[in-house]
Amino acid sequence: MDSQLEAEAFKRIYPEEYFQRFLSEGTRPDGRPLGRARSTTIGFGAVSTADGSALVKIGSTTLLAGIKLEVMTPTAEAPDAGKIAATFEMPPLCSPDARPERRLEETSVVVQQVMNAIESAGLVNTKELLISTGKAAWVAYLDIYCLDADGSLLDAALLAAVAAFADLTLPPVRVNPEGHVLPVLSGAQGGNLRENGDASSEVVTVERRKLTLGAMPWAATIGLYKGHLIVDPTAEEEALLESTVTTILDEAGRLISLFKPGGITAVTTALIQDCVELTRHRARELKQILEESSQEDEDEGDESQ
Amino acid sequence: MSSQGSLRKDGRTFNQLRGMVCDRGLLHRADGSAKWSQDGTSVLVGVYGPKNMPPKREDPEKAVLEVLWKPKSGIQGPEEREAEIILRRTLEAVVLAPLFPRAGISVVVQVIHDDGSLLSCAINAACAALVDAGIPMTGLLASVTIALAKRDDGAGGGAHLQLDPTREEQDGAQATVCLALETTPKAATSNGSVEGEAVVTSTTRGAMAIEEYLEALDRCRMASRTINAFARLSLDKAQRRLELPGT
Repeated sequence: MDSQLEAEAFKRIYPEEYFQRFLSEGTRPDGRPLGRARSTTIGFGAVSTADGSALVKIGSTTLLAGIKLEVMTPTAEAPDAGKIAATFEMPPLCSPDARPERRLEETSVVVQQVMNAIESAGLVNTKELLISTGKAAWVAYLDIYCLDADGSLLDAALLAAVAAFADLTLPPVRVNPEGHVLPVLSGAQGGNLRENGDASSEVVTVERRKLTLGAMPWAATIGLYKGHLIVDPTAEEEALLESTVTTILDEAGRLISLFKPGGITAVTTALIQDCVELTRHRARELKQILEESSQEDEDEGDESQ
Repeated sequence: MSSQGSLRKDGRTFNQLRGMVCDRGLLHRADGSAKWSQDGTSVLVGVYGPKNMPPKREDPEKAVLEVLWKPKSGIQGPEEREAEIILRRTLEAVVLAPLFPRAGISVVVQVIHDDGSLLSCAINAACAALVDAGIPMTGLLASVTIALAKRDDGAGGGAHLQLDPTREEQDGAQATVCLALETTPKAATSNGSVEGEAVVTSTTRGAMAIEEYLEALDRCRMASRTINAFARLSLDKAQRRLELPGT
């Protein structure tokens, strides 16, 4: 008990020294080797009121992503496409640094980088969000909520966004000639009769469907500390790191983003290659986790029916 | 570099920077200021400090750096806020902040015109303004943006990497890479090895092969030497205005 108290006190007073002692043994305060990410779980359909949602946990970093669809009139420049609008929220409960009156700077960086990755990888073809050319299209409001900010937020936010899009189902709708979008009530054929009465025969019906997703982007944040490469750092580690590099790759191994926002250490070409290599490994891992989770989700869905 | 008949719209070769102009000391009240232009892209930066900070924000161990990014018109959007944060973290890498504990340094960025490579231009301008303000730094920053033109309209080979793209080239590109490299005086003297300039900041947009990124990095390294040589000339106090026609 005494020695544990001592270790706790040492960590508080000399956090840097505490961290270095672990690193010199080739391990980290939470027992992971330097190159290993925390255990990751994905839960689909966490929010029943959303059209697509996912709850992602990387270690104790917890993010909830939800997509809500709304109908909009397509813009004149792109009459055959819908759009995606993303927000990222860090409420005060997620971290001791988050305050209600002031937005944390991570907030703007994460949302921009997540959107950048989704667009760069071509995950969602916005043309698929079209309901009727020039008349109606879906706008997908992607809201990512941070419930627990314990480091590597960008990785978790991107994973949550990708999983939410994988979970997204476009509801069936009908478009009448005036361009109004009406919901199709499943199994309630009788309800449609009256609608059919005043609308003419050119009602367009779009069936309930999932999106066909393009290349999925996978992110890995790697912390740099005195020549060590630390994969998936926690918030505690991030506070001590010299800088971080977030690499995003897609399945085909294309580079979607290499994001290094300043930091004390400047990196060399060799270091960049190391980061890409570590991300490749992590991308395979994440892909497998997503596939397994969606398989489980389907199995559960079958059982409940 | 021979033109091979495949020049860009503005007559530059693929590996050519735009002409640069650096004016220093334009603002009377600021401790340092610089206007950095790369042809159509132009940014004015004022530096205030080291100065007092409100006690709530001061750091007992080092100076606090603050960046304010003013867009050309309108109010700040999420893109500008992101640029502000990236610029601040980039400058933190080179400013010797521990020399001024409890102090603050404000860097105010006013975009005058954006014709592509804006973040790069802002980083170069901020670095020149910090030099003008006499803020001690570990080295000079040089930032370059490279656009990867889509394969079908590029001439193949290495020709599709466009250095210092204009807005039009940037919008039409398959991907863009913005890098900020630091040259420390030590690295500059040690036989100019390839690793002389290290990457402080990297942001990308669009998808590319890893080899393409690394090639862009090499091109940026070479271009950063030109920018650095130019910036070093402007270190001369008497040199208030310096122009470098396209190289």
